[in-house]
Amino acid sequence: MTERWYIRYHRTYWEVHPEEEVVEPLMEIRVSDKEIKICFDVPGVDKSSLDVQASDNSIVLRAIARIGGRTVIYFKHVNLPMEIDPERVRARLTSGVLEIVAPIRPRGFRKVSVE
Amino acid sequence: MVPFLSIEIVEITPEERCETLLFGFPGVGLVGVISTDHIIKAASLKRTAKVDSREFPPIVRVVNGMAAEPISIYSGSGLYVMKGDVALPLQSTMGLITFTLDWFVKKKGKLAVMIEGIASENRLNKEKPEVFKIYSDEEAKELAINVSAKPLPEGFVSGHIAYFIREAIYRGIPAVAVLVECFPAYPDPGAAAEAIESLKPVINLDIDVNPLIERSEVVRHKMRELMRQAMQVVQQTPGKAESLYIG
Repeated sequence: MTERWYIRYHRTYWEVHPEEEVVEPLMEIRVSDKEIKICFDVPGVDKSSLDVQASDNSIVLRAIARIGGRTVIYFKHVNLPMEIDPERVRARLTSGVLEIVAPIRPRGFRKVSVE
Repeated sequence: MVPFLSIEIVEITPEERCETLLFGFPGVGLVGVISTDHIIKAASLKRTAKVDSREFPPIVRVVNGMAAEPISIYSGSGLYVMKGDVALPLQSTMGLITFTLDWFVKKKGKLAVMIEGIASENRLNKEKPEVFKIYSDEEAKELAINVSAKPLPEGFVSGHIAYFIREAIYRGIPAVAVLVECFPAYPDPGAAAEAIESLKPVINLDIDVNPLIERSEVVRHKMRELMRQAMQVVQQTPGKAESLYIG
């Protein structure tokens, strides 16, 4: 579902904005016991032009910025190394750095009886 | 073990003697490159030498359709500035440091300075990053006592900064490394501005860092690819970015 959405979105974006520069933002991922923290470098972006989507195992970022008189479109689809709770994902934009914190969904184990 | 590299420094202007040599290589946060680039532009330093080696990776910098050497030395106002525009593997950078320090000895230079970033996970929450310094010896301390940075407390540094300090000690050249907290994976013009501010007493130039701050977004955008290259090199460095300094 996410992959299909991504392809459809990307194609649509290219059709609508063929003249702009589409770039992949620099990013880093840090994984701790309870959460995944992803930071994207998106200089020139403000909150109103930012769209972040979260699913169980991926984050999609799209944003538009004006930098040095040019329009720049940031686009990044990140496959996460583990499942997260998309309802509890938080995001913060500070000085052109977008920080996304995604709580890791604990894995549920149940005892399997052996016949 | 540093391999023997055949490096050439070709001076393209009449010989000039400067007392201070400033190194800026692509590293964590690109602090070295951004700060030296700004100093060169703000002080209108002239390109005085080109540096190349057949053993450097096959990367050519292109400016307005013209190929340029990956590394250049600029000079003026008693200052040499070596700026690297491509990220070299650690072994090549080590060879370059050795070769350049030998060249600086011949020039009877007095103080070698290297600017570098220290990855800080908390950088996002700090408007003014901390600046630290490491002296190579007592003479360096005397010469660079006014650098507005905290002496780095006990710990270890690794990578080209460590190599720079050790080679300077070996050659008896007073040297100081200026380390600024910065974003681990993005170009950080704010950290570069702090590095320049801290170095003003040593470089004796009144550099206005405001234009750098104002162009911050453009700088970050333009330097994305160099940052990607630099991160690949940093990942291969012993100790990696996060533990460049271990306190």
